[in-house]
Amino acid sequence: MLKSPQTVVHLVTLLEEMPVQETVDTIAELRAVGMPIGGVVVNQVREEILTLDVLEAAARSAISRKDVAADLTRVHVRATDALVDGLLAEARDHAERVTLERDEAKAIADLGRPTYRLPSLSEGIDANGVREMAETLMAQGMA
Amino acid sequence: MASVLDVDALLGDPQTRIIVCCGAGGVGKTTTAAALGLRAAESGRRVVVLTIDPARRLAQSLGLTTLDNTPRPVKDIDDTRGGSLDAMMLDMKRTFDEVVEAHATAEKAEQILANPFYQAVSSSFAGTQEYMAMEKLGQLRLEADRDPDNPRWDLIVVDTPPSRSALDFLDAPKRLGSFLDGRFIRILAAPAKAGGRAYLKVFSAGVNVVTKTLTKILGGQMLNDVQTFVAALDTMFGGFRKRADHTYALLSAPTTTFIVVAAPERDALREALFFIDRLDEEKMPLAGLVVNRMYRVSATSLSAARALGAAEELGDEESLRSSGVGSSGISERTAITQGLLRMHAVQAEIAARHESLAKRFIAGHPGIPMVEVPAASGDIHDLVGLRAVGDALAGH
Repeated sequence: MLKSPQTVVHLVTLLEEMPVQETVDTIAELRAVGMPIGGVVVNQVREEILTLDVLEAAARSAISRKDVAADLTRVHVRATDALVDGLLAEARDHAERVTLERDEAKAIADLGRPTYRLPSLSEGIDANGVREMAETLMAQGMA
Repeated sequence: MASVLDVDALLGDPQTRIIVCCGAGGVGKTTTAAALGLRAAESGRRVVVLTIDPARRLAQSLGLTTLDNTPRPVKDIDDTRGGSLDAMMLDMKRTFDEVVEAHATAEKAEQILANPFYQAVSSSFAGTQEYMAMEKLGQLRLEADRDPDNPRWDLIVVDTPPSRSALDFLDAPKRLGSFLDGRFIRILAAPAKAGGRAYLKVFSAGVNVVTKTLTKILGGQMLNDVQTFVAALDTMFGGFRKRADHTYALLSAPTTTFIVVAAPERDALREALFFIDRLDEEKMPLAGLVVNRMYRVSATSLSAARALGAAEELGDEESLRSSGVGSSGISERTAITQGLLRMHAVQAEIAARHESLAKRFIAGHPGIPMVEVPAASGDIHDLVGLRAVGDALAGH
């Protein structure tokens, strides 16, 4: 039954080191025993807010503090040093996370299986959340 | 009044001999256990950390490259205070083999180890990991106390298996006992009386030994193997029971303490609470709760709503200023600031949610000592990262 054409094994992962490693290992094991492998669902994908250029600048600490401070002042945000430095530090951390996630996403892509992405749902999962996830997967052609 | 989990006081107390980290899967139990072990060792204690299933790179940083079921020294720790750190990764099957070897005659042990049913049970029995983690803990404790004047370890930190149900871990010693000398075994040992149907009923109703698939594949041969296995194990019951009882006693001793690890999510906190209640029921000593992976922002003075508003305003202002020039709207420079503000808004929202969850938890359970550990921006897989987690655990 497990090896029939009616069966397919999909894998679900997060863009973190351990889940991705386990997904890669699992696919190798499933291949070894001849189980039909479906796609890989990447869950809790972060919304992309900063462009690649900005992320790179943030990682290199190459974003101008002065420009940011001036922009903030224009819209009446009190641009204290703590605030500007804080924003830039957040951007650096964010860039680090995104870089790690891109590496993990590449490892998933290298598996050569169809991949589907589910966004992170901040409010936790209830019936509506499940419905939303199902629709997202269908829209990506999973079922 | 909320109370704080004072990790340094706990690690510094020579009466603390065993720390068990438990919680649901994926909340950072292994990292917490390793960080506690490192911090204790660098403050002068002789520590062994028993991990169950560490991430590959974390394992490597602890020197756990070979899985030989024996504690190995962790290199490059700060030992100026006279401490030491050993680490090991649980090899479930090997631990089971050792138990068999310790309790059966050489001939019988060989029979059991070669039995296909034993091999299935020892490597895939739901719950085996829990039993064997406890068995290993007992072994480490014995080893630690072998020479009372010069104990090899004075602190054992245990990471628990990522159980589907938090109960499995606490039930392990008791279940090991009842699995081995319960009705199930007696019926299996006397199959003629019980008959085929009874066997199947008992098999699926109770003990959940192996999956149905395995039963299907192995079929009648398996029944046979089970009987041989049980007959062989029969001689070892006494030893098994005694060990399980001993481990249970060890877990409830005043020198043992539990740390529950949770993530700042509704479901994870609910599960942590369930675990805390269970420890209380069993009269197991709880040190406190670690709320791990708390999202924090650096620009604390700017709320998510204000950041989003400012980002929008910035766009409006810029397009007003450049209208008529025919440009696409905003300059590259402003786009960067806008991006920063939007990114901050998302992060501030997550941070606020985590904080409110933690606050609500404290309000509801003021008696539970707690400490929050901020989320790291990368995976933790070296001693530097573990040290930082240790600092955070100690409230620095």
